[in-house]
Amino acid sequence: MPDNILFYAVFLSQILLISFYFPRKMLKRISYVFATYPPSQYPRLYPEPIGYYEKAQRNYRNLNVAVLLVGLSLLAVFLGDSRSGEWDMGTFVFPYFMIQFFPVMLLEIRSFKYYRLMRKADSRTTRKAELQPRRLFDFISPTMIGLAVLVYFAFIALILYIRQFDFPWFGGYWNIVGVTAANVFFAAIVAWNMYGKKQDPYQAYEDRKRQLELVVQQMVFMSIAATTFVALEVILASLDMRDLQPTAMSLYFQLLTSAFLREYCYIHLYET
Amino acid sequence: MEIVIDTSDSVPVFAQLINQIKKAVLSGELSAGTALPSIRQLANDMGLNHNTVAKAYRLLERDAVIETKGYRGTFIHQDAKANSAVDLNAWVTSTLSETIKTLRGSGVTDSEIRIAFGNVMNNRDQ
Repeated sequence: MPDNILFYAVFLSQILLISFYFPRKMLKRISYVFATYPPSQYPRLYPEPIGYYEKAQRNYRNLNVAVLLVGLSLLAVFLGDSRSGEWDMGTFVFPYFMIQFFPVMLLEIRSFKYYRLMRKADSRTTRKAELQPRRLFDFISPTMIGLAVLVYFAFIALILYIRQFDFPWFGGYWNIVGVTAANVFFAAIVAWNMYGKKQDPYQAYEDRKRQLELVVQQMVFMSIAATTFVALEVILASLDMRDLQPTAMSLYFQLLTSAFLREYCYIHLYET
Repeated sequence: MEIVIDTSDSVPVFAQLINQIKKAVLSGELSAGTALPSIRQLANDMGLNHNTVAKAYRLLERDAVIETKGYRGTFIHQDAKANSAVDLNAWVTSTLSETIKTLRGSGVTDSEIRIAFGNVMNNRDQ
């Protein structure tokens, strides 16, 4: 068991951060927004009756409590079972993270529905827009983009180098395909946010700029983090340190969630 | 600068866009070389059809108020201020009025003028 202490500590941190700390922060902000911008004074912000949002808030809280209990039970099993040292913890970390992320995805889907209803209810005939082009470097420094590109090419070089050794576990070029697909996905999210339709019809231009800045920085950060994580996994495996992979994976998920929820908390609650 | 479009206005949306951009050029709010948003960006921001914005940009480019520089984007033309003052609609109306006046003076009836105008517009009998 002592070998796994580091993993247990990191996994506990994953459980508490994603299923306790962030949901708590989010719920606090939602309550704050409801209190500061009540439906009686801001009816346009609430295309559905207030009860609908309160129910969604309750569901979000209950789901997170359930996921938190599942995580703590899982950890109790790990600590209580003497054979747990032989288990491959990596097989638990990823599925559990997906379960942890489910309430966030649900909230994301709800927010799409919310904006759609808001646009539908918007009966104004006047449309406004700033006659100003949006460019990538308005929202992020060229250094950060350069860093992301550098990390990506360093990753390709690493894969080409590791390929020479014929490791049986090594996925070869599929690593490059996977990381490239992830980066294309991040780039698509940036493009959709920059040039796509405005989700919130009442959002001011300055707010949108602030939101874009957050999304672009977040996606570039996620691109660097994802590429670095896959490179780290490959390095750990090639150095025969696969025992550390679940710990690295858990830390990576925590980092990713922190970046994602920082933006999520800000944007969705800022506008609600 | 902010563009405001009223979809319930009798003036077509593309014409409102053209008028506001020309007005901004004349007032100095938009100076030569100023970058404009892409058609897609402006259309999505205003919730308009891309073709509507494309039509406005096409007509502004024809009038040399804006210019497209390949992948670099769309910019206000160097001679935009002088070109924005030219009202092509007013010029067409005055030219046609003069022509019709001459034709009527020669004894051509309104009906004959309408038929001839229609034929010319449809590239017939040329």
